[in-house]
Amino acid sequence: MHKKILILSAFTLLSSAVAITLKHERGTLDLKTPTKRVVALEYSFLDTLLALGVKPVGAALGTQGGDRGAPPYLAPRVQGIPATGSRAQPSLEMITASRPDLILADAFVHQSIYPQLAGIAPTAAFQSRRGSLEDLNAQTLAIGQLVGREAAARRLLAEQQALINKARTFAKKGAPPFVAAVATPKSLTVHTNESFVGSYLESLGRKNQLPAKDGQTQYEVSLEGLVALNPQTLVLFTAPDETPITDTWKKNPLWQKIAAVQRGRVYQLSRDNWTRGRGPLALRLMVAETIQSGLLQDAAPGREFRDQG
Amino acid sequence: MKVAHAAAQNVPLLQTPKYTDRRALVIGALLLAATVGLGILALGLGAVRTPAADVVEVLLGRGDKLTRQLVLELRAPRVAVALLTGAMFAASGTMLQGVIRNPLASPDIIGVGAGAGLAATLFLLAWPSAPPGGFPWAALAGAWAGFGLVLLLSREWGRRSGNTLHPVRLALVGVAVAAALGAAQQLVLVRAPDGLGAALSFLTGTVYGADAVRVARVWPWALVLLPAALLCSRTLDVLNLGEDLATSLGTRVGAARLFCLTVAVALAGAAVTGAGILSFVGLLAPHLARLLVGARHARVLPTALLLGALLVLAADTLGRALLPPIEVPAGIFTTLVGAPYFLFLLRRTQ
Amino acid sequence: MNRLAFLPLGLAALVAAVLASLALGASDIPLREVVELLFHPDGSTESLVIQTLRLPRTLVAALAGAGLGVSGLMLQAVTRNPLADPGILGVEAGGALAILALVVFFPAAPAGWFVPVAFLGGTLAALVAYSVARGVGITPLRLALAGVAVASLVGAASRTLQLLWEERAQGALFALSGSVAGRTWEQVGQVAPWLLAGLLAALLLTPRLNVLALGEDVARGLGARTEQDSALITGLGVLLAAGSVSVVGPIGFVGLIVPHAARALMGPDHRLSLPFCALLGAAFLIAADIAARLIDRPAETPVGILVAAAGAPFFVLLARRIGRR
Repeated sequence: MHKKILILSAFTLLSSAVAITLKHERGTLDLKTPTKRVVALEYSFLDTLLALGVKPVGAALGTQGGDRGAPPYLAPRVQGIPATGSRAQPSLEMITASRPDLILADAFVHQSIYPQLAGIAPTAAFQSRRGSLEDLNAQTLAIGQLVGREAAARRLLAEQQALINKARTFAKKGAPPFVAAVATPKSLTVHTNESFVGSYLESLGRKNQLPAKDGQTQYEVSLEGLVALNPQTLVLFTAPDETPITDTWKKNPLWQKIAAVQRGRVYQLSRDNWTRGRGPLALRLMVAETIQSGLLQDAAPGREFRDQG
Repeated sequence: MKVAHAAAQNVPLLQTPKYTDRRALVIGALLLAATVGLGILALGLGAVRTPAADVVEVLLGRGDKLTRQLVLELRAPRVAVALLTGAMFAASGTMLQGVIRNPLASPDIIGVGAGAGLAATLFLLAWPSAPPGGFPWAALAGAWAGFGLVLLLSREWGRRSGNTLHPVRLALVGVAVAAALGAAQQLVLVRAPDGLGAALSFLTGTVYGADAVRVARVWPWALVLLPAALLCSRTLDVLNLGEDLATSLGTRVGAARLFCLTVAVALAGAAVTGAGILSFVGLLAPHLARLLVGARHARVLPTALLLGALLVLAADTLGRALLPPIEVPAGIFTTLVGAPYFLFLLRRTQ
Repeated sequence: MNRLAFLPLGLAALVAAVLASLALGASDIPLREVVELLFHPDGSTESLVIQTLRLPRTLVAALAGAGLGVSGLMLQAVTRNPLADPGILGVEAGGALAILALVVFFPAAPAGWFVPVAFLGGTLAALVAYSVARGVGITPLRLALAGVAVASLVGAASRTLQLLWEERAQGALFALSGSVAGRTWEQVGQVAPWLLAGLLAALLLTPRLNVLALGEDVARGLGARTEQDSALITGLGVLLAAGSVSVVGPIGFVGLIVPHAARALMGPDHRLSLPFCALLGAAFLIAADIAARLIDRPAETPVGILVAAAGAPFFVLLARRIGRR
């Protein structure tokens, strides 16, 4: 949705104090000095902080309002981090009680409580949920600066680029475009080439079939809508503890009409790794999955990436 | 007079000895004490435990920084919004019931709330970067439009005699207009960018997320309008006597009515921008007040204000203390209590 | 013009609506192809879209529309109240709450229970509204207002259940949605017997409905057992509404607009207006659903929102007209 790249500007004022000025989605943030007392209200911020070696003083790890808690790959690393409510319903009181010097919020999910958050501590609002790969990389750098680990952030980004370059060599040239979609028990949401996963898969060398529609980088489609799109390759992001809506759709003979089904190119990847983490740690897992599953090579999916239904 | 006088139905004689000034004062004091007590309790309740002693310390101007922040910056605005909007809805309902002489009148029933909600939605949609101060004005315009529509549609054009508004009919037209405006709002929201729905979620009647900004949005209105409402109490008493008698007492009925209605609608419109549509508060509070202190508005209005404030504060406190961290919006509680009372009233209204 | 001529017109409207509903959607299918595929399914993608997605959805809309329309007509006749609509009287909200409660508290309950449970909930809501309105003498306005208040109370209870049992309530969201999107043959099978039987029974009862609509005194004078007949017809009206709610959720004002239109065109004789009302209700809801899926294609808009926006102004005008003597 927001093609706008975060404009970062770090000024070294005097030789002693390093003040940071950061333009974000809701204004400009001034920090006199980098801080490690951070509250992360999205999993991508949590992932980024942990990748930078900073343990936040609070994170939205709660399970209310439809949230399922931290993605499993982060679970061992978040022990000891206090939960400040869920992403959908952050507890302003718990955030205050963790005495942060910086809050990282989502520009979309947390827009209605941004004034309250800013009242507790300086708050940076980023396009995390609706951000593209470009946006999230810019955020990694910004967060690195805010916590005083800019060098580490640059290193992470360089490693990531190297990994992507390596992965690209696996990608089959001229393979047909894909449709990537998150399947929950209630709905199927396709992710366009401006969404995070959509743009990420493109950066690995496969083409996304769908552009953004009316400024929406992701939108819901019905079975009829999916059949009308008739993708050659279908990438489904599902969670192991949920029954995705596609399991019901598979019983419909129409499912067999989808080109990707006929070609045997329906991949089931982990929703937890792909659409919930969205940080440097998740990105490594994602690259691995695209190669292991055979997606990049346009090969038939391996057993654990086939649908289990 | 065709329509039985609403309040006089409950209270056969306006000056029964049962309802004295002293009684009203005692009841007022009790309600005030209950409100203050509940307010302090509400300041102590939250996701982070704060011992009562620490809360009292903070209120006395001492206490540690964290507790101060929790109590004064997070909980106090919420309590303030609950109290203010509760009092405003109650005052609005009392005045509407007095002017229209309709026991079923209440800002949410006669289209004021729905009008304000639709106008607020359209305003944010048309002008997303509008200054926050403009929001209440838009809601106010919508409140008037909704109310005007209801009055216009429920009036008996044919017969000039009495100029009466049949109470049940007015209420039904109000409900129908509210349904129409609500449906229009839904339709607008379907096509709106997805952030807008979230920004307006509080319109359904909740105090969650109320902050200093929202207090600042509401309190200037309360500061002007609540005293104005209290000043109207004599006028309301006179209006209550019926048009003929009021005229013979030297009241310019038309102007008095218009002024009272203006204040009532403005109160409801401003309250909607604070906590959304808290259903049935404006209906319940005046009735309870009349049961407690009789029919004279000089007593009813202050009592109703306190009752409304207490009701909304209780609903909100219960909503967040019942099953934390789940928050049950205050509007749901007021409906669960208010709708049965409305049915009870309807059962007895001619 | 002979009123009987409207019946084939209504039928034609229904057929046109069904064909349009089968042709329009995420991808449009030419009308000639639709007709051909309808009778000679060939297993192609278009054929399967029609057979497995659009046909069940259209049938659900048709059944629910007919059920709600006839339900409104019967309730209006038996209460002699032009404002009687299963939505306004709280029947739909009561049915939806009952299904929600069933799913939340008895998650193992089979889907076959939805209609009977919704019937129970709808009946309860209607009884409360009726007993309140009867307090000092029942009038159309009082009954309608009581119904609206009951509906708002029941709605608050539904929201509370949803909030407190967020996970479990998921299974009942369809009953609160006011939408026909994604309905399957399985769901058609669940409600079709109830609704078809109810519509047939309604058709058979039209002579008694005519007698009742004359007023209780006249009806009694004509030798009708009025109380028994009233109860039977009211029950049938609630059942039709409950059947609709248990597959599409509350959709307001269909039972208000359609009967009025049917009576305006067909006159007071229910032997004519009732079947016409069924045709019109079905055609109306199908047409509204077509609009609902085209308005934000390929995303779906709940048809209930569209119908409410179209129907509420009519409710306003009716409420205004009824009070005037």
